[in-house]
Amino acid sequence: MNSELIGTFVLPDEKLGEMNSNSMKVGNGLVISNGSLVSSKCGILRFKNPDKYWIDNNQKRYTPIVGQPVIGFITQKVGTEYLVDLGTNIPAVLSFFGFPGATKKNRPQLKINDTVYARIIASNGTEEPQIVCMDKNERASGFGQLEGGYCFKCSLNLSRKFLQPRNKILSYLGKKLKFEIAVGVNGRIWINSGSVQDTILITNAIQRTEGLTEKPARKVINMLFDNMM
Amino acid sequence: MKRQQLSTNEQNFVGSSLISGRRIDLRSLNEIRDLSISFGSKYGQVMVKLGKTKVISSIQATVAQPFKDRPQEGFCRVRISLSNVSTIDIESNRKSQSDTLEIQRMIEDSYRESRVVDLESLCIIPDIWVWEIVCNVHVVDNDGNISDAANIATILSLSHFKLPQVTIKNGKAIIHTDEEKELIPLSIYHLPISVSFGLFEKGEIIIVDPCLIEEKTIEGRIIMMVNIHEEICSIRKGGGTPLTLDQILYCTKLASEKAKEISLIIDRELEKDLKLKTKQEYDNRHLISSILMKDEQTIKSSLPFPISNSLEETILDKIRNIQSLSWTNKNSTIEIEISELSKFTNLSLNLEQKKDTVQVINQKNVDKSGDEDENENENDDDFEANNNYSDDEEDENLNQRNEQFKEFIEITNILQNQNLSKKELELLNQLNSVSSSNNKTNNEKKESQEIILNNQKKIQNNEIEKINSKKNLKKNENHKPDEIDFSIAINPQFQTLKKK
Repeated sequence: MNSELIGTFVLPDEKLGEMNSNSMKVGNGLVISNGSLVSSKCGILRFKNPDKYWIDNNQKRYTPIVGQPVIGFITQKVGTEYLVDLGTNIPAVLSFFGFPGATKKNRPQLKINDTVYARIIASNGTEEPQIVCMDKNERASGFGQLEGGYCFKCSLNLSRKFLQPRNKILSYLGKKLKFEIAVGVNGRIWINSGSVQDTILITNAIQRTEGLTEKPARKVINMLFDNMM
Repeated sequence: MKRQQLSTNEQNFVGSSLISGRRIDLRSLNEIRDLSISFGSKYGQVMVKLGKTKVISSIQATVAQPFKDRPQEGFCRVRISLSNVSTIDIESNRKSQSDTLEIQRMIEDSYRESRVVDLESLCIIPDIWVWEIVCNVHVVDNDGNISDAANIATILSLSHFKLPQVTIKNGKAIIHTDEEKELIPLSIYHLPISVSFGLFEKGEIIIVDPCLIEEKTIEGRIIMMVNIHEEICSIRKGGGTPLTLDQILYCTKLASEKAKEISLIIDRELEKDLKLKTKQEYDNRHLISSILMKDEQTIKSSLPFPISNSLEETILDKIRNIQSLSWTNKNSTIEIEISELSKFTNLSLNLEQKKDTVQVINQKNVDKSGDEDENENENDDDFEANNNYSDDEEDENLNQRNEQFKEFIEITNILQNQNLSKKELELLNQLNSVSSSNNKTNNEKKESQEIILNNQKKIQNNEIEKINSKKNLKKNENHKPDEIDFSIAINPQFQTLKKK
């Protein structure tokens, strides 16, 4: 049953086979009901040796998962905590001690409507997720406040592709322009470069080449460059 | 919980890019996003996409009482609703819902004052009944500039919509269905198109058609509704930075240019869809009417799938309904004649010797105003006059008429099985065997007489089954009136029938 369906497109509420807790690990988009694996999203069934099953799909709404890097906007300051909006149903909590080298006297100086690059520590379905602006080893390593630049919204698939080690669009853009980029798995990308023109170019290049392969993506980017210049 | 303001990064960036003369999505300052329009299956259903903003609208027409100081004017209203689905990122709180109220009132008031819809044409009976037309607009996706998208949607759905016809008889108003009488479009005088501007840097930078992020960073906003004839229908400015006169005049010029662009697109799409719809209706009816021309066997063989009995009944019902329409078709003149005939005549059938054809004869013109009683008496006279046969002719005619009667019964069975109960069916089947056996009791005669009368009435009430070519009709014109039979009564034993 399962082996036939791997790699095929699957609709929600389809039975995929019987559940074997020894040989199966249930991933994204799969649900156990009455002893059988059932899909809960549209997408392609994937399998990774030895035992991982999940559904590859695209969506815009993010559900927080521990260990992932996200971009958030500070909405409130409550006691010794910040409430941060990640685009999820509940706003996340960033405590004052979630920064490297933080003590009671050494407090962070963030304001409302600032952007922050952070990592998720704890998330339940029901409670507020907790985020922290540090590494596992309590170093900054890129986390923290993002100053300047422009932050825009995209789908989750796109943000995941830009987190892969060798992204062709980024390498192509990097040959021509200088810029900084921060990618949050919750569908937000932040870009900063020397001039306003460049950041506009890069945002449009990223947004308009979603789903394209290498050659047509390059064509689109070249057209954008010609129009701007 | 969604955030209510933009982050400082976004605000600063948008501001600085506007100052340097660029917009985020690479548009120029005066450019509108791509407009795409699609229509639904019913009249008045429209979906409008302005870039990423998506808006759906539909129209409800109900009958209502008019205001007392304006007894002859109908109502034309607009309702705009935002849902939580429309904005994922930034919250739609009370402020943005009051925005939609503002837009709603602007559209309604400007339509009323500039007389877009002729309200007096919506009157049914003055001071009593009046059409109330409500356009419901739902914002499905909010990426800025709801007012323009909602306005385009309402205008399109109003000019796409069609009202049913109403006739007044004896103080009662009868609303006809789509199949009885054609729908009428609303009478619309002009199409006002709204163009919204965003103001920045104390009015020095003016953007057309701001997207959502730009809307949140803008210092002020002005909306203008302009005609294709360069007539300003309304201007609305609610707070924000003040403008000088020069800036306002500049906005009006820009607005009239954009209005022309948009109204060209709108007209083109409207025409396309209305043509499509009339073509679809024509095709549907032409299909059915072409089915009319053929026998039942050819109909069944031409369809790609086998029909069940219930489908047959529905098809035949539709055929009969269509025949009672006042719908004309230039390509097939026969159908014109028959529809005209069916309006004004009582029809009767006459069977020829050919098995495949059934002819239609114009018996007499009947005025519906009430001369029907006289015509019935005349029919009786003809009926009795034709009943004088000699014995020799009887024998010859018997065989012919029995054959004709069989065919006729077959046809009536096929077409009217649904209307007959089981008893009637049995009796009809017995009548088929009448010609073979001349021995009959009086009860059976009476029953068969009643059935024949019922059939006759049904046929006269329902219209024709098959249509002939013009040649056969002309032959009938040469046919002398004295030779016409009410051939339903074929057996000479039944010739003493009289109508009651």
